[in-house]
Amino acid sequence: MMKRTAILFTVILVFLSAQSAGALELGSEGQVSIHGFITQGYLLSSDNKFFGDTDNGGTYHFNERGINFTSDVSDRLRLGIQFFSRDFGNLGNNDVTIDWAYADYSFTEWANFRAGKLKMPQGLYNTSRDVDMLRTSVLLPQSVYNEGWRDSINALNGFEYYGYAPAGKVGSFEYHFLGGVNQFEDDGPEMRLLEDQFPIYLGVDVSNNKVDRTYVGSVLWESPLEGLSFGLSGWEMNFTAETSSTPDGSVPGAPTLDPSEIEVTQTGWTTSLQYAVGDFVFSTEYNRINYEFEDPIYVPGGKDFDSEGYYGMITYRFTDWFEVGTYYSEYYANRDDKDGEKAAQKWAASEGLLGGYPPGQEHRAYLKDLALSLRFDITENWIFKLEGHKMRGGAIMLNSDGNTDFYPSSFANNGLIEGPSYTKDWELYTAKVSFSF
Amino acid sequence: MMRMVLRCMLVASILCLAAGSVSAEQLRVIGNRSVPVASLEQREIRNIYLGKKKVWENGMRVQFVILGKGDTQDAFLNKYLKKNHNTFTRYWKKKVFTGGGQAPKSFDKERDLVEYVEKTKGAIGFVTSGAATDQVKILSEMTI
Repeated sequence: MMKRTAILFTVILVFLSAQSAGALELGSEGQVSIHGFITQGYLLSSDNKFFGDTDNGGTYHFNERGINFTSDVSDRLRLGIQFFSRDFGNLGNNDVTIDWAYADYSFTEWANFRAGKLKMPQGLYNTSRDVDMLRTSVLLPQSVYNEGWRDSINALNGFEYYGYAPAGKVGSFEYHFLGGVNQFEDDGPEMRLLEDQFPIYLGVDVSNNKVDRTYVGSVLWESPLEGLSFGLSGWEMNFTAETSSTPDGSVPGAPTLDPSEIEVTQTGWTTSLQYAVGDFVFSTEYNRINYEFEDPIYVPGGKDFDSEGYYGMITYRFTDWFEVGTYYSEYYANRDDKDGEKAAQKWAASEGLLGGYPPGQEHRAYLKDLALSLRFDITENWIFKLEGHKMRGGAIMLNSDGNTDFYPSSFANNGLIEGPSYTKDWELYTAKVSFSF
Repeated sequence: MMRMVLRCMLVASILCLAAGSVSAEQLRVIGNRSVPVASLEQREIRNIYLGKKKVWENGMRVQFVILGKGDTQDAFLNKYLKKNHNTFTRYWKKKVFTGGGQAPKSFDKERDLVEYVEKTKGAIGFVTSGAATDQVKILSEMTI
């Protein structure tokens, strides 16, 4: 069924792409507007598998496709839906999903309501993170827009109240408040990142996740100084999932863990500052996420820690068709162990039996990224981008993508135990073409 | 001879100034006669064109339209929205692809835009003072 939907979706998109540029409008008075986009990229890394087989000659598993239909049903009521698929290394696999679908009712400028599947406003770019043509860079700074957590903070099924409030000489405010539940795949990166918290030899599987609740709030202040805006946004999500263990047999005497249930509460917030002046745009954001794990068997006593990320970005548009951007981004998986020393000590003390970072893998604790992007607007509808990243560290990526190696341990059968393996200094290159109408 | 040259320069200067004042066009924001306001402030026009104000006070949907890329659009975006063609286009693409709203309908000719505004309830648009606007409301005027 999903395959048939995907084929139909592709046929429609290809047909529409062949039309002249601009939105297609069906019926009288533009009753239904149709817009869409297609991107195709290429990812190549010097080392490490960045969510896919990027280090082995690169990967073409890097695209997004979307098509949306919106219509004004009455003066106050608007309906809309967007179908979307993406492929990002081992993520997405071009499964067609409903990206957003809503009924939007407007009372006034300051009171609007939506119900349906709604994008979660977080920071400057979360709602538009899948839409390549809206920004200068190909990849957003991973410190704040971690691809590993994309599905869990992308959209929720629920309700939204939003509006715009002018505040005279102080400027104006835009606000969004949402409540509902979001969904993410059992084999998606969120669950795999959770599994990465446990020693590999235990073969821990986290599945059947059920989100209990998700709340989102976002306020953007547009200051009286033209182009200067400040944002504050936050979310809380609580979910449970089944935990089970199938040890790989490499460690004799590995504990037999009965199936259990893990409860995860994720509370995140982001502050944003942006100044657009002339052809320059300066942006900086800070993000903190608190994770609380509770599982009587797999996480006895519970676990509570914060990740932290921030970046600074500058873009400059030289001409109508050429733009340059650069950013520097830092991410720490645990802000109480920024250099990875504690996790390395944990490994050393137990020879890998309790997990942690193997010798020389302290850089698994962070990811520092210096990026340079070139954007070429070939036409209003076609865009081409080139980008390079100078990376330091191995955070964010997934062990299960093949980022592992074997390390000496007297507890293991053959004297070797599997653990995370990441090259500390590496480069990532990408090129991408986008078409939108 | 010198007096003759100075006189010619004076006449030329006056002609240039006169020509300059003739070319100083007005930018007009026009509305359908059903629009329930007599005039609009710059802030209100900005909110409409950024999709923040979606309905008029009487509950009628705001149907805002634009002229295609060109000097008049540049002048309007600069004077009323403090944006340029690129930033305005990107702003609306973001709205369109994140479920934030529908991009404004665009017209290549002022005559077609005026005709649309004239016939569409709740519609507003912008043209230069050279366009015939006797069948629509003039909600705001500004010198280009």
